[in-house]
Amino acid sequence: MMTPARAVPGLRHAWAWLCLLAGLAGCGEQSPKTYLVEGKISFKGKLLPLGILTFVPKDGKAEVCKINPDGSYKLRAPAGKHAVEVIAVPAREGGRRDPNVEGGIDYRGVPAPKPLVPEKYNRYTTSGIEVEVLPSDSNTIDIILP
Amino acid sequence: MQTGEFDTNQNNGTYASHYRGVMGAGLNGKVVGNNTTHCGSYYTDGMFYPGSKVRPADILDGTANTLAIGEKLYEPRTWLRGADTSDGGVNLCVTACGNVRWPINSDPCLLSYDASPETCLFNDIFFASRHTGGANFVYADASVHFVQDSISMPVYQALATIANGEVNTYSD
Repeated sequence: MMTPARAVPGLRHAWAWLCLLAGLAGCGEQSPKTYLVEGKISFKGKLLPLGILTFVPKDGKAEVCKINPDGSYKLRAPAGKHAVEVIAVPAREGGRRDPNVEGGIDYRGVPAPKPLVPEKYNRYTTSGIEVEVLPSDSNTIDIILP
Repeated sequence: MQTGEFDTNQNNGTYASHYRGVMGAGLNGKVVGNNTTHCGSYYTDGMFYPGSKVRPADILDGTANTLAIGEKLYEPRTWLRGADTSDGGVNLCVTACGNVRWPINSDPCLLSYDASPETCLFNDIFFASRHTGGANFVYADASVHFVQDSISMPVYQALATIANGEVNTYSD
C-alpha cells in the first residue's frame, strides 16, 4: 500500500536513526585489531590492472579491497594467516541503453569480457594462495598468482 | 514488506524491498551459470533461488542453523520483479534473492555493482543494514537473529547453505 508519508521522508528517517542509536547504545563488540598491508599483485608475471582482492582469515571477517591500475593494493587485516581470492574481470564494452533491463543497458550480442585470472583464484577455497599478516603496520605482501 | 524507501536507481515511484532470500553460498558446485559480468551466477544451495522447492525436510543442516531471508541496503529492488535478464536469458539478475558471496556490510563504494569493471555482480550484492556491526536475518525456523559482520566467511557460508553438513559454530 502506498502511504502518504512520502511527503516527509526525512522525518521518517530521523526516527529510524533515533531508534537505531537508542538500540545500539552501550552495545557493540570490539573488533579485532587490524594492520596495514600493502603490495602488488601479479598473474603470470604481469601486474593486474583491476579487480577485487579478498583476504579470508580462518576466523573473523573477510577483508576486501580494490586492485589499483598500477597493480597495487592496500588493506587492513587482522594478524595471522589468510586465504586469498582474486576476481579480475574487465569492464564490458558496447550495449544499447534500455531502461527496461536490469542495469539499464541491453548487452545482447555483446561478448562478455574475459576474466584476467583463472576461475580457481575467484574462491579462497580453491585459490591455493595463502598469506600471513604480521602484527605491524609495515606489512608488504606481493601476491604472485602462477 | 514495504519499507517506504524509494529505489533511486530504477523503478522510480515503486517501493523497494530491503529484504531478500538467501540463495546459498555456491559451495560444492551448486552454482548456475558461469557469468562474470553484471548479474553473475546464482547459487542453489540455500533456501531460496530461482525454481527452488526447498521443503523443511531438505534443510539437513537444521532450520535453526540456516539463513532464509536477510537485510539488503545497497541497490534495492522490488520483490515483484523476481528475476530479470539483460542478455536474453543468459544473464539472470535475481532481485528477490541474493548470493552469500561477500562479507556482510561490505563497503558499497568498493563493491559497487555499477562500477566499471563490474567486479561485484548483481546477484552477489552483499547482505547489509544500517545497523552498526551486522544485519538481521530470518532463519529457516522463523527466528530472527542479528548476524555480526565480523562473522567468519566459512561460518557465514555454512549458515547460508541448507544441507552442506556443517555444524553451526555461530551464536549471536
